Amino acid sequence: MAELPPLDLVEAFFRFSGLSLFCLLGVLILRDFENRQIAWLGAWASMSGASYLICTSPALNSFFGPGMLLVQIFCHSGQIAIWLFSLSQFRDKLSLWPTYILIALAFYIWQRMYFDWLRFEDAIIATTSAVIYTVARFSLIGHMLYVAWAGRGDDLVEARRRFRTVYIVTVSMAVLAVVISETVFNEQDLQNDNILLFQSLGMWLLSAVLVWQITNLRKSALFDGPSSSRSGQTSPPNDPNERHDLETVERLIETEDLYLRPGLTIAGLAVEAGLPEHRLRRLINTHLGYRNFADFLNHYRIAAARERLSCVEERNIPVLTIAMDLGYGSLGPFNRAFKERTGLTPTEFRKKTLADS
Amino acid sequence: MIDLLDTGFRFSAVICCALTTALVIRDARRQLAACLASALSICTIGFLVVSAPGMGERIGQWMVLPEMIGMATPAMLWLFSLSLFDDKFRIKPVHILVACVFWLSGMAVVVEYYYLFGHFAPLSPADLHAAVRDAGSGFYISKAIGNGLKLGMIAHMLFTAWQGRDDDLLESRRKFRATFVVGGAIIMGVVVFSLSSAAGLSPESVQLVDMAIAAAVMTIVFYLMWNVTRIDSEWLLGNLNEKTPDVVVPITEPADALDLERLNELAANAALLEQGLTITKLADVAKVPEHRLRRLINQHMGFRNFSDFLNHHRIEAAKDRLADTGERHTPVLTIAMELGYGSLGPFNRAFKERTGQTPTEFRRGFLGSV
Repeated sequence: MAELPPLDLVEAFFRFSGLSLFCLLGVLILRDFENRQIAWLGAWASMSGASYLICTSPALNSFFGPGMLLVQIFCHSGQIAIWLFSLSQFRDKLSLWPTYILIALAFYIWQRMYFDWLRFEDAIIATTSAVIYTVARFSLIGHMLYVAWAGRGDDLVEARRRFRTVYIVTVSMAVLAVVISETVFNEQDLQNDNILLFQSLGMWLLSAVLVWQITNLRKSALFDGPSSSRSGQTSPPNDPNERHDLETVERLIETEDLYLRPGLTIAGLAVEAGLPEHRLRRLINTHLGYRNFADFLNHYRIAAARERLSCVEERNIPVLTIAMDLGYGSLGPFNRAFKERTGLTPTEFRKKTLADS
Repeated sequence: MIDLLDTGFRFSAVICCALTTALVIRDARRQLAACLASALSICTIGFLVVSAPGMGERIGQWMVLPEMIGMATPAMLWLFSLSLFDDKFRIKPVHILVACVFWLSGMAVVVEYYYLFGHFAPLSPADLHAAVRDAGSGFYISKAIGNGLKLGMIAHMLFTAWQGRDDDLLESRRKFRATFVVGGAIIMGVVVFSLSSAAGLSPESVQLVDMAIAAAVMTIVFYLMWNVTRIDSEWLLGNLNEKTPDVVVPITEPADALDLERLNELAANAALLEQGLTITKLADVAKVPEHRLRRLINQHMGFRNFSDFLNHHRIEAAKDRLADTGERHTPVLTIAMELGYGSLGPFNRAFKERTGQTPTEFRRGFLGSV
């Protein structure tokens, strides 16, 4: 067998898949945490994770060209985004404005000044500002981890309590890895293949753990509504309008025997009930619990069929006639629907009930 | 530039497929449609790997593994679509038979290549077919069977999706049926076209088509993730507002009822007014394991954290004492200390949060009205 794939492929996999996991995380947080401050902070933090993966890749840097200016804003503000997000996630009823926002702003401005605008010639000033910057960075990280850790004993939601530990371990490892690699290595070193792999792997792990921990499949994994036909998940309507609609439908079906009409479609029933079709669909699905209209009709039709098949006076009426009377166009669909609900064919059922009576 | 985009789209699609599989295994093992979705995701990963440009040069004969997996993609897509659109769908022997015949007809070319060249092909399926054809061999029957079955499966699944449209009562699925039929037809058209006529296209166009396929797969999987995943609101901590009240679950277990009784008894005996009380200490006193106590207070009493629970009891007691005319000269600090607060600050904050007034204002207002 041939040798294993070369390094760049592995690196590209972690980088690109980490990128898309961060994007996924960002949009999901924005959607599911609704329009809360925390949703914006979470999305911002996720996007800065994604931007970090773009900023650190030489290939992607040249790909984005002038667009990098925007990416860089996210990338550089990553640390304060994570800090603010952690505070608002792990501290109850904390108002970020003004103290924390101002600290974040000051940190960001100092960071930009340190990197872009001021190039200190004097060695002592340069060293001092580097030390201040590094101390500030580590203080933010330390504060954030402390806040996540401190609320642990107090928290009562079990899953979230465990998540605090996961969050602390993964976020701190990732952030520390970034900070240490940037503190220890200079810009040329950072283009080294091994370091690129190390960065992308670290960020990938972070995004994968977070996505894995906080996303869930919805209860009915693919589409909403009861998962099997006629399951117990129905609820009586609260809205008086809907209650009235439901009564109309039940009256049409049960007293006026509309279900016996051959070739009845949902559109036909909607016309009879004087309801828009989409309302009728929703009504039958959410309040009666059927996933398709045929199921709904068969429920009534087969109940009527059982009655007629077990009726002694009607013992000589052919099954086909009964099927036709019940609105079926031919025997096949009737037999299938009957067997599915009773486990017997109509003829077997009739034989059995007549023998019993 | 195109290869960079290709890599990006492809790996994003791969990770989303992997995520789908993992989430299904964790959360929805019991649902047939979900299991088929995860099988489809695994096959799609195989397909994405073998169709990646230049993958053959990089991983050599290892290509045979993703090839074997990717080969089954159309069959899995077919089964998954049936389970999605037909509520009565169950896997029957005939489904397994069709899927197996289809897969074997694809594998026949791989095996034939091995016989012709003595090693597995480091090639994508399209190049593989071309190589076998150029070597002058004729496993054309297997290719004809494979293509015939593929077209049949596609037609069948599109037909099933379309046919159930009128009958469907799930609004979201009904809308999705139309999207599926149109989108499915277009994508399958592109795939079939690109695989069958790859030989006649220039290398640049092949690269472009490959990228387009990767982008399409990524879009579909993202759309799927968007629709089937959600983040539980229980992850939300700070900045809660009234939008998400915690649901109080009624007690069903007799053991829980006894624990709750014990807790209420302790609350009545001022056990919650002890200074520096933690949940561990309370668990000791109540003789209830800590994790059960946490669950009890969260699920059956509706508090999200322990201090909220304590404050709830303590502030009720504070209101009684502040409204008591007999205690009108007791300093607020003394009351706060006796209720278990270590200092005045936390007491004032908790009091104001619950009543909208500071303790002093509350007392003044109350005594004034007597």
